[in-house]
Amino acid sequence: MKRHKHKILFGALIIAILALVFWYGGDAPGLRGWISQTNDHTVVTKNDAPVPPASPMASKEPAATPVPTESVVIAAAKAKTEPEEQRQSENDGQKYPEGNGMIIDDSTGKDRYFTDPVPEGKPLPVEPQDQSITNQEYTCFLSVRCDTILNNMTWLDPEKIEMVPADGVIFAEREVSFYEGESVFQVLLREMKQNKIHMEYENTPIYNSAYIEGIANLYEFDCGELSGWMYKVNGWFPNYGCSRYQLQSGDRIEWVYTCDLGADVGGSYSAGNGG
Amino acid sequence: MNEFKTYHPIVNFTYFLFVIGFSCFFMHPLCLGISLVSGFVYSVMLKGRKAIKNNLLYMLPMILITALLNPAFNHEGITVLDYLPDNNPLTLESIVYGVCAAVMLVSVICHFSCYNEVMTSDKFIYLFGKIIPAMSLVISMTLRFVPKFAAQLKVVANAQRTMGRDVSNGSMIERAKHGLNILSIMTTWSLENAIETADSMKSRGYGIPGRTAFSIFTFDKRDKCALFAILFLGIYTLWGSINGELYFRYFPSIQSVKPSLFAMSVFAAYLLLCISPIIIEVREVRRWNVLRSKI
Repeated sequence: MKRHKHKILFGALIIAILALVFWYGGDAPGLRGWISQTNDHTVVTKNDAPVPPASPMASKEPAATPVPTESVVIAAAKAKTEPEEQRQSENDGQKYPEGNGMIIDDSTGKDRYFTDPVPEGKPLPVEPQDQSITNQEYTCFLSVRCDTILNNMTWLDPEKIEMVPADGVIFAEREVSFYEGESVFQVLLREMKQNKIHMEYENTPIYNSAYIEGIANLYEFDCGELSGWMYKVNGWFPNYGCSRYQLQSGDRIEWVYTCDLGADVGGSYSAGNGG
Repeated sequence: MNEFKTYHPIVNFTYFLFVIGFSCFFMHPLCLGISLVSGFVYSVMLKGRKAIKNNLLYMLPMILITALLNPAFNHEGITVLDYLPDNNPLTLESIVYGVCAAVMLVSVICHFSCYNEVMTSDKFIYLFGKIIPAMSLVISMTLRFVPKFAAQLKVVANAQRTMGRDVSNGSMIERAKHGLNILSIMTTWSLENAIETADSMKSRGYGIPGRTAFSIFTFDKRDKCALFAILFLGIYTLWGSINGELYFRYFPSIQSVKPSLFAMSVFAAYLLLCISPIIIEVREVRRWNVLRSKI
């Protein structure tokens, strides 16, 4: 027994360290303690209840669609380009409802830029290389907010405290103009530049979209390791990047900062962090 | 100009441990400046005039490239100067940070070149031969490898030249063949040499307990004073930096701590630490001149 004493002690030490590390959790709000996993879900459901149209997870239910019907028509029309039709006819076993016309790879259940099927009634992604921008000018609404940081100030990088506005509004909602065919990213880029607000993005070819790393010097991971920028259009967090979201006249774009992979702003991580 | 070299190895090693360690971590521009200037001056004192040219030859391009490269990938900072072609902002902070990071890199390289002059392999083996025999031998052999390889390369190339098989003889293809031949000789030699060194050290009983080693180093009063001074300055600087007196931030806006008396004293301590070998050299020169004038 005495011989193996140090082995037992060593094993106990390892287990203690692992338990401590598990309890300590990740570097973000809601990740610490024993009940970290359940935390996220309760927050999601709580937030979903009062805001039914905001949830992309509610796709199974007949959710209310705040999107104007014309966008669906356009999306369907866009989908009817030749190569897409060909590939569609090859994929007979498609579970995805027809008319939405997204090309889903059967082996992964996603399209070629790793996007899950878009819920019914929501606009399909339009690839930046396929966008045709006309001179027709429309308007939409844009806002950039970081309210969630105000609730999680202890998690914020101390160097960034002065960057957070007292009311959490970086760009108050206002009507901005855009040209037909432009994406959410192009509108954000133009408005941030015009209003002299700092914004950094990175092109991610694998998702065929720009990824917004930071706005007004508030970057991803500045407020815990689950933080970053997300966008919603008409209350819905698209599950694809912002360069692939083609705007319609009157759309309401909201850029929000999340500290918990979207759970604290009413989205979910499946919506894709940041677009 | 090699008075500091004659000090006890522990003094030399402590000095470089502190200075290189601090140069790697202190990002305050004043600290970077102190480190760069002292490293530059000391390397010139050790290696003579031609070190100025050699130092500038790698320093200037490196600083320039880093200063240009950093803003191309880093766009953080509140002072947006302009927009890059891809519409990401070009910020003042990222440029300043690029220059400072380059200065840090260059000054560490400079200090390491001084280290190689001062801490010869016998000193290193003397310090660590007993504690970590195998490791210290490997480290000293590694550090010696490049200069030794270059010297042997010259010997081999000269020998080959006498046979008309140098890289300067013959057509393009023949030259390449000769070059490859020399390379192959050098590879064989270096492998063989490493084994020979290991065998020879083993046959001398290197690393066996009870083995004594002759050393010429004595720890006298002069070394004691120097070691005490270096330790005091180093620990004082470390204490100051732990207290946040050397705090400096680059992002999102450039900001420093308010200059207090304590901060000033920490900077002074760091400066004294960095130039301590220079002080020793200058004092020695002056003493020599005084002695000579008395004759």
